[in-house]
Amino acid sequence: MKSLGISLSGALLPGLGHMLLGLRRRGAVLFVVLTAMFMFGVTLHPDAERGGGFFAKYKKNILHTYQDYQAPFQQTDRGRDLEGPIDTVWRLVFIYLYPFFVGIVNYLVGFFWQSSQYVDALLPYRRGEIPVAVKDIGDCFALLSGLLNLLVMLDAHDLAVNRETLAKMQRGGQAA
Amino acid sequence: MIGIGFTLATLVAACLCIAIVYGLISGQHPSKFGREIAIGFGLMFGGILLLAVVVELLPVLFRSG
Repeated sequence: MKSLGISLSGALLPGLGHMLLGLRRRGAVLFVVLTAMFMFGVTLHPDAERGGGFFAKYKKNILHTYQDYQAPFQQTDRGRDLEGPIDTVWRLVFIYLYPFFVGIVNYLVGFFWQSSQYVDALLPYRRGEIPVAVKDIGDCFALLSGLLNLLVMLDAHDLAVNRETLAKMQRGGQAA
Repeated sequence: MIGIGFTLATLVAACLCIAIVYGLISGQHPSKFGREIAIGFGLMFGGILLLAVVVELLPVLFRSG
């Protein structure tokens, strides 16, 4: 049960599980790399309004209000008519679980960061005039960060279960 | 329109990030992290470039007439 908690702590911040296991430097590097990837991705796909851009890609997200919570289950546009059950599951996973894949703290920081004026200073484009290719590259980075954090969480769980391996790593010895 | 430089830079950055995470969770001795990251990066970046070349070459090789 403790190992599950350590593993799921990665859903708060990437690399937190490794830090809790005593592998501080490793956890710090994982945090920096995954956070940089997510923030870079979000920066490349901002939008004019708050909550837009990357976060509006699938129209609704976990930060939307109570009135919108049923929206993903409803047929709201023509594209949804063509959607099969697997598409629906993936959309729901993306909307409700992705923030935890990427780390909910990172997700919230990214949400407010992408609508800030600092993004305007960084990007050579005006909001709304960013090429689709740049936006897609941003999406790839942000999504990749979430997938890699899943692997990191699994690794933290693996280390928490295998105490012998963990002890070797904490001593700086070879683990595998 | 975005330049090839930007596209390549983002590709290198993505491959490097994946290689670093892979290297760190591979369970290797800390002294072998560098080698692990270099191998991961080389395989990924090389593989993607090779795939791109093959995809570009295929229509030329199998062009009819």
